[in-house]
Amino acid sequence: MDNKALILGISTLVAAIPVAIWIPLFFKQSGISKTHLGILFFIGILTAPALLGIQYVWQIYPTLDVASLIETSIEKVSVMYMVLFVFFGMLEEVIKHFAVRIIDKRTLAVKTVNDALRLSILSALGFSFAENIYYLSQLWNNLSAGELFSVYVFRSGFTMCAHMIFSGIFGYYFGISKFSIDITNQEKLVGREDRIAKIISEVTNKPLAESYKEKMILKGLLIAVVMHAIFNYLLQYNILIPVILFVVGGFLYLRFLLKRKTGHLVLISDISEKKKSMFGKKDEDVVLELLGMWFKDKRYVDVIHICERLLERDPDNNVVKLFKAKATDQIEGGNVYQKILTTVLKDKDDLSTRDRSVIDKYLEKKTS
Amino acid sequence: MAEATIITEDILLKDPNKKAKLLTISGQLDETNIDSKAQEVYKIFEEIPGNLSLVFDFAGLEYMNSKSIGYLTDWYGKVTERGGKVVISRAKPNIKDILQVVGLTQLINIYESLDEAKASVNDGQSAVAAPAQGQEGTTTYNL
Repeated sequence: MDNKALILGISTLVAAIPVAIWIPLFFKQSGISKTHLGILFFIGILTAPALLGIQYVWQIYPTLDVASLIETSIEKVSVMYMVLFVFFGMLEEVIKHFAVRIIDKRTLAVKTVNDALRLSILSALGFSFAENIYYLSQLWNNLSAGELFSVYVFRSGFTMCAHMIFSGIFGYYFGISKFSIDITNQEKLVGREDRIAKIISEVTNKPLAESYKEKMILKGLLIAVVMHAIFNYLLQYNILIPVILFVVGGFLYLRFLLKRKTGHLVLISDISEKKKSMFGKKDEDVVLELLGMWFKDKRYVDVIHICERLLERDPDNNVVKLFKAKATDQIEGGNVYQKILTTVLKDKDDLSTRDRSVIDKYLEKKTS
Repeated sequence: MAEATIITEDILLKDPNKKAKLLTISGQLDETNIDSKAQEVYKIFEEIPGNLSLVFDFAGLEYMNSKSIGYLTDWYGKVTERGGKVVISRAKPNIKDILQVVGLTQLINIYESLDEAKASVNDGQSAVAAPAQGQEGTTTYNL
């Protein structure tokens, strides 16, 4: 087929099919505005040509060509590929993340950790969609129909999913970084101290929450880049079984993250609408300390009880909400009762009416 | 270091097989003193292994930290496990507030008067405090 416009059109249509399949898996009842999602997907699409644009600049100014520098300066081929993939992985992850930042800055779309994760997945989908169009249209006349179909299926399933995993994990850490103040407050009460954040805080003379925020973004980027590089490296050497295992595992991990109660917490609220606490500051601090102690002792049902009562007095306290969500996440699993019984109570008959009501309420929410 | 005192007295009960102690706690229970003060209460458990009830008089207690609430919960568990009762009397509003939020008021009754609290561990009949025998570090006196 020689008509380039037609090839591009068909490639676009075919590349849209996996997008239509992937989107409902992550965005069903996401609560994020469809307009914002649409804009982000569009920006995500533009990130792939942006990367090509960088490579185009390198052609015009060869002295800026980092990829060529890596290729010529590292002799050992396997090491050269790894460094190259780390470099391109970082470029891709940063550029996809940039799209999420643009949307969040303009629309404040990230209200929960899960929002950040979902938006990053969407940006990756946009990027991957554009990449698929490019590859399909480039390979159209060079491969047999069977080969082209294989490439299409692999890219639509595995490569697209891999992009969502890398960006999703980066997005998850970005989400955590957004709520660093509340999270560091909660962790402090549980007695956890982030040593790296503390070192960053001491070196840069910034507040701990700010350092924690920076650390989380760097951590997310690092994990995404390393995963991206390993994925590309394995593909380069056609080592497919670990790639398949990685993608399936990564997909399940993303679904797990999205189900966690902590991820659903709306931690951003309009200050003007924030309700004042009906509890004395000093007294509330005592209860928060107790929450930290009991959380550490794995008394999760007690923690949920206290949080429920405390939220009646101070409904907008994010630290209390975090405690409740984390405690609920802890008792989540195959057999909720068993977990509770082993951590809190000696015998099932010991469950008080209130214990049962909290657990039943939790199970009802879970099944609804 | 915050000041806190625990005064322990025996309460005479109708049933000779049961024992009860009145613990009058005053001052501020905080990180600087709670562990040592809690040991005074644990000593009672060593001395009286079963059928023990505790009446806490919080009239002079101004502040209790999270650890002291943790201890109170532990004492409640120990006493009820051995067939006894734990009650509180004359707690200040801020203390009552904290105990309510942490859910202890569902387990431990809080009485406005000391007599009511004592009566509640004596099957509804009024009780008197009697000198404790052989307890080191405690001040005892009759009511």
